[in-house]
Amino acid sequence: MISLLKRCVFTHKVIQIKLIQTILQMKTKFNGILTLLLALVVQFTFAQEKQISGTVTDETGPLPGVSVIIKGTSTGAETDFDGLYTITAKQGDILIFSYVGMDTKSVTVGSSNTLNVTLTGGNLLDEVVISAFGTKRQSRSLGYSATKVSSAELTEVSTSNPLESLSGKVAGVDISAPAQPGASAKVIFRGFGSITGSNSPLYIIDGSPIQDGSSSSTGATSSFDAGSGINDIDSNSIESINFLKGAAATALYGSRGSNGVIVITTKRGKDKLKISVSNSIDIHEVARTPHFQQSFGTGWAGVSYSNVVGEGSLAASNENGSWGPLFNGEVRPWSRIIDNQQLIKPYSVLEDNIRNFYTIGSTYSNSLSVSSGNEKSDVAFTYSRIDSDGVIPTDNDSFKKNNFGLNAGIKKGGFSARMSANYSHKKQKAVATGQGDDASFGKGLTQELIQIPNDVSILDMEDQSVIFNTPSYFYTPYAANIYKTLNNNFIGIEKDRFFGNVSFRYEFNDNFSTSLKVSTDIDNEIIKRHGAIVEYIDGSPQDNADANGVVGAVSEGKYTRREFDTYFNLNYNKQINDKINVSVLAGINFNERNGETLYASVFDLDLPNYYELSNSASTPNIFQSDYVRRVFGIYSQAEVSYDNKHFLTLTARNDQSSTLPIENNSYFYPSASLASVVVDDGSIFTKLRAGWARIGNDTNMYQVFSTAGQASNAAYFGSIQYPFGGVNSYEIFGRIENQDLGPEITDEIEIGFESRFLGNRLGLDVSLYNRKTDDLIVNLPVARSTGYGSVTGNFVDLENKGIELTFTAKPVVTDNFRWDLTYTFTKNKSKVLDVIGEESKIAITSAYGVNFYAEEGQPLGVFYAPSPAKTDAGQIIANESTGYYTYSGQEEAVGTSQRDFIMGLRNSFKYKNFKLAFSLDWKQGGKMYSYTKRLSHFVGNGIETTYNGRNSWIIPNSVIEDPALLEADENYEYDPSNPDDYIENTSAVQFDKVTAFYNMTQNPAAERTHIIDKTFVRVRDLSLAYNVPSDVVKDLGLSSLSFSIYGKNLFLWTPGDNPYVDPETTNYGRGITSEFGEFATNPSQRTYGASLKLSF
Amino acid sequence: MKHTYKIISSLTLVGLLLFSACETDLDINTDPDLLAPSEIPMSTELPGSQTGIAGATGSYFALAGGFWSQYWTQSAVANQYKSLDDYSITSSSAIFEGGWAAMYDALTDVRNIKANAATEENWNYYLIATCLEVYSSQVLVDLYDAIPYSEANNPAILNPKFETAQEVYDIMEADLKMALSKDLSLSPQDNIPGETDLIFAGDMTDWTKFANTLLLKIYLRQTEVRASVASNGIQTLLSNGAQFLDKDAAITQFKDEDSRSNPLYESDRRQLNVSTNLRASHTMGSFLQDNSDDRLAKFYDGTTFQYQGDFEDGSSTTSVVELSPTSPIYFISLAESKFLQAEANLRYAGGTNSETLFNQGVAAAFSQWEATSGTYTYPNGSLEENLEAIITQKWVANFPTNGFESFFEQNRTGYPKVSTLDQSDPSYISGQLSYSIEGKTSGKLPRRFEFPLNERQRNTNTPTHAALTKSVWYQGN
Repeated sequence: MISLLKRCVFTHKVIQIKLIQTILQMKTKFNGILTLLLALVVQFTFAQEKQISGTVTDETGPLPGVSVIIKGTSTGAETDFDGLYTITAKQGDILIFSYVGMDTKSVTVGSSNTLNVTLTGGNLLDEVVISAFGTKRQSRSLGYSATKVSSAELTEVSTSNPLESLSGKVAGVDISAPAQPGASAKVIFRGFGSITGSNSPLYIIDGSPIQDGSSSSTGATSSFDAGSGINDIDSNSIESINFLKGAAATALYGSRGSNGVIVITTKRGKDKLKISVSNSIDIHEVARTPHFQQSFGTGWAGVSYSNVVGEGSLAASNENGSWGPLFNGEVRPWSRIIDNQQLIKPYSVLEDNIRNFYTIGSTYSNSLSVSSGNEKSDVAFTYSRIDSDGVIPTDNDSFKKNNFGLNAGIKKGGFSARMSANYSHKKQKAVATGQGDDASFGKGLTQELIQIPNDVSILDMEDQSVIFNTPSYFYTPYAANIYKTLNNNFIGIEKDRFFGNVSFRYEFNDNFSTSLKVSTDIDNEIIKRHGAIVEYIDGSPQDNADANGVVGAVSEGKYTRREFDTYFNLNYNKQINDKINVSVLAGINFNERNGETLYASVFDLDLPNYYELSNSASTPNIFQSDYVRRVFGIYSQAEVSYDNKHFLTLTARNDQSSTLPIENNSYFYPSASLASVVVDDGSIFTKLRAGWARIGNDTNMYQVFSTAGQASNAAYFGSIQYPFGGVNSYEIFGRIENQDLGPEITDEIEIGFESRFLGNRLGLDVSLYNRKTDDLIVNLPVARSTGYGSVTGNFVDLENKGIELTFTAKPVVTDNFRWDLTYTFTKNKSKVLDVIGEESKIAITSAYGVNFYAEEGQPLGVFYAPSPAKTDAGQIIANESTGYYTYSGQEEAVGTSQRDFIMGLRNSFKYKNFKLAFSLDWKQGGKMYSYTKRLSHFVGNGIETTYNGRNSWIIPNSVIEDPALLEADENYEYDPSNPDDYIENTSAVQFDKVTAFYNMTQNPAAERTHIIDKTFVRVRDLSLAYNVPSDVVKDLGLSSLSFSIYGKNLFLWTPGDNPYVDPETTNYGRGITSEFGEFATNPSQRTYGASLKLSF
Repeated sequence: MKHTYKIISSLTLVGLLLFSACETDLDINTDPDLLAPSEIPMSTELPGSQTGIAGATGSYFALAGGFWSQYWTQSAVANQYKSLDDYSITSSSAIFEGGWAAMYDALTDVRNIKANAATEENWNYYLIATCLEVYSSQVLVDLYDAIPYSEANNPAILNPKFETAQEVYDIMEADLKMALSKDLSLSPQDNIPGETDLIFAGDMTDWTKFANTLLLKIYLRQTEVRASVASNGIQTLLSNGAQFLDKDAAITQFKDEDSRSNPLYESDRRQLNVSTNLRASHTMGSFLQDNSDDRLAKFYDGTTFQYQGDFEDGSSTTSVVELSPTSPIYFISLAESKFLQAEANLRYAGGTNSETLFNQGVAAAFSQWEATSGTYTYPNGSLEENLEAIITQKWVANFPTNGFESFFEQNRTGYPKVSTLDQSDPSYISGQLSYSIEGKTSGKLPRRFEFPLNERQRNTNTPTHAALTKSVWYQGN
């Protein structure tokens, strides 16, 4: 602890210096840019204007964050913490004051320079949301559920990913925060809708789609998380995020909207020149590390000695586990004997052995934004930098990102043009997860950590000048020194990302306008990876034990992903009479995505510490992939409103996609939704809504035809690759051609209501939906005797039903104190309605005999595992000779990954200038696979392995096959339905066999125990902010100044079933496979931070 | 208004330009990086199909064969293959599922070559493909006892029917005879097999001999179950003066490089994180030792043997099996060819040449290891004594990667014999198989592979589950 503290203090100093440096650097760097921007702004400044200022209040007092806009322009301002605003306007201008949850108020500028405004009642429903193609719609007109998150909420705690802090805050959306700096967030709307395809929502930034691709490596072996496309967006430049959940909301966005749409709007310049700076410093520590048993130490099968070559049969244990005798505290020798020397240590537990391995990480975030605007033009520029290093020692889990964002528009007469552009550069390092591979990059960190006996100090292994810590003399041949593993494996990710659009709009008259938007998204990523050679000195203990070295490997991959999107729209809006308003939109959309991957690797390096592709005599492996896909869509939307109370919206879209068979590549999908404000009397507001929508979805590229390519032959753990023996070869690949492939069709019905009572003090928003997807495209595995592996087709029907609820309350509202509460509840029930063919299950993924299926009649994602043979009466059939389970080769269902519910609770308390907020996140139910548990059991570190004090025991309620029957007839077949075939089991699992009971090779039926409950309750974040009073701020020459301290992921509770992992961590990516669980993945982290925000 | 039109027209123009600049062709759904199956020339498809078979036999089947022919036993200080050595292996095991999948994967290409060769009347490739098809199918059917053959490898049939071993044997015989009946000289001269044939570099005489030897092997396997088929077939072969293999049919191009080495070495040594799982079995070890066979030093890194399946109480110092990354994978070795001929001669040609063929077989087996001869003499005794000598020598010769072949021959002939004594018993006769000490099948040795679980789940025609210890067709009764 002392050393940790020292480290903290030290880091603080560094931070301060860094901060000052950064600010200074930024000042000089941006002087030029500022001048430029100022010049631009000055051009559009007019002389007749005057400064209007005032205070905006509600019934409780000053209201900060109120938007003040001059009607018909984009010129605006925002009230500060004391409710004060200043805006430049002309006499006769109309100022529009709007605030979330309040009635919008319009006031005409008179001769006075002071305008104080009181906002009242109101409700969230007058909020403006952005729906398809940048059209602004009033929230009250929406016939579907949408949730808006504002910039203030997003940046309450500092984030490196705009979605990371939103878990539990948006009903109907399941968000899993990234575990490490730069890792990806998983966002699932209303349950999983696709098995083979992506389940990621569509991200729309300033009206154009961007890619959320990832170059991560997923799965059980040497995987890593390189983040995803959404990480390249800067939270600081975001004005708002809208979550459009229902199919009716997303139908107009086309196929990719079927997983939900996240509409992000970036900040625009308003009013006078404003410069904002925000800085934050985060300190990270490891959150969950596995809880291990604390009674038994180094050894195997109950003994603390091993047979070691060269040291004899009673040498100190060279085992990688805690299967030794009970701890007794005696100081005794351990380790290998080198020059007649050996290490000594007390034989007692080291409680925080794994935790102590991790260090304190840090993240520095700095952001500068400059904005300005008037009715003719506006510009906003944001620069942010994040510099993060996670909790794993060394900077191998670090993340650096620079972001530049620009959003600018000009307007003259009916013509307006706008541009939004973002560039980011990221440098990231990742630590491999999962199982290692000695034939290439080497071991995996977490896998090695779990295998350390709980009396062997991990921290003491760091010093490589100690011979006992070097690879050749390490105490066990079955696991590697963690520090060596960490330093030997390098994964470096570097990425340049640009996305943006330009749009033109022309308003012919008040009714008729047209717009054109063209966007580009280019994502260039390079991933370099290497693993060091590990060789053992001849005659060293590891050499004698025939321990496997690592051959060493180098790889380099280049990934380019591009997206181009164009749409052209015509809009018509007409107020027919006092009551009826009609607006119609029609347009065409063209979308192309293309890209290239080039990846090369070599294994078996020649020179140590030299990591180039040339450094191997073996044949390099080269992988190449090019793709292009296109969608051409036409669409239309009509909205009719009556009395501003009843709203009917109809949409229709037809897509043609290149990924479907050419004769069958066109599909049409309509939607209809209705919103009706039934009560709106100032104190009570109720809106009912209903919608029906269909969404068609295409599939991945190149799924229709059979293919052939370079040959690669399986050979159990190995393979034979071409070129081979001086020749090349091509073979037919495993997918059967399917010209009948068609689009997936999703139909969704949604009904809901929004209600507000007591003048907005209470609010309730409920949605019920039933989403049915027919002809879901899956890869159906086929019998291998066909010579093929799978056929891609429309083989599954899936249903997702659910309820999502948001309850808001303001329990206390006084002059100085205010309490806001938001509660969300989400429950989604999925059901696989039909799986085509005889077999009712389709495998999604598997590990060690545990299979994860889509099974007819079950929720999507059912676990099956090898299970003990049982009699029909339910008694476990034990093995007579071992006392273990018998395993008949049959698998049994052991639950589903589907959660019972998700709920979030957010409270915020405002007292004078202080604001305290915290969020709780509770995700109940569902199962996951934990390899961490499996390995912890194998090596005897798992808590459950101390069952019965490891003394011999008999499996409760078990029987054995009656041996007399076999003696009488050697061909006797035992029948589980016949009770007479079995007798009571008296064979105990003996003390020395307890170890092997947890060895799945010998007791495969115990694999099922590795499926655990993934329930958790978490304190997602907590923050305390202080806004410096405006008089003080003014004295400083600033317009606002605030400080906050916060924590993220502060507390995690999991049920007794899971003492092992943070259940939201996974190394299986973000699709349905990620619901499978984890395979020795890296831990999540806990964060304490402080930030400073100022503007002038 | 004029102004408006100007703007409309310029916007439309911009729109048109942007759209026409985009490629709107939607017929782009073929992967630019891959070929269509019809685009692979036979010569290019051939080597991958050959190594495909070698990958299956040389890893999945070689491992099981080596345990069950008792070349090796599971290390006491590792875990990898316990279920093979104690017979608790189940139908979902990677050995049963992976070997099956790898073989049928290779057969897709073999049968594609065969179909293309038939269309082009390229009888050279037709014969090579038939040889590969029958060779791999015989291994499969001898392991699993029933397999899809005539309906297999056809993407239009998702539930190929299983055929019994007897049916498969009859079709294999007919297929080989059909290929042998073709006049190779009528094959197109501009598309002849060459260096991409990894086994014989396109030498069709060798392939004809291979086909004859395969036919001989097919007949011999039926000595117990259909003696007349065996005897008629072999007598016809011999009286027609069929030429048999006089060299190894093997892939020898392996090198010490990732994913290019001998599949057993690649799998067990290079890719596995513990490379000492395979330990010297007392069965093979004591036999070689008792016969002063200098192959002993080539097979194992010492002379400390472990009783078969004694991995719970065995020692960490038991000798480890020697494997080399560059060892060939034999389809049919010269030694095996000679031993097959020796048995044929013994049974159906009065046995006059049996001793010579036996000695040639032993010599060939020794030269594989650059070893000098041990003390093996042909007994010149009863048929059973002679047969035991031949099959026992074949058992040794099949080390390390063709243990599955010895497993089949043990099923058929009962040699090597199964000891009734524990290996620790002083009266134990070296070289006799012994039931695994940790065996979980009540004293019954494995006789077959179980149908792969995934085949059972996906192919409705899969026969009902048959236990590992259930006898196979060619065992007779």
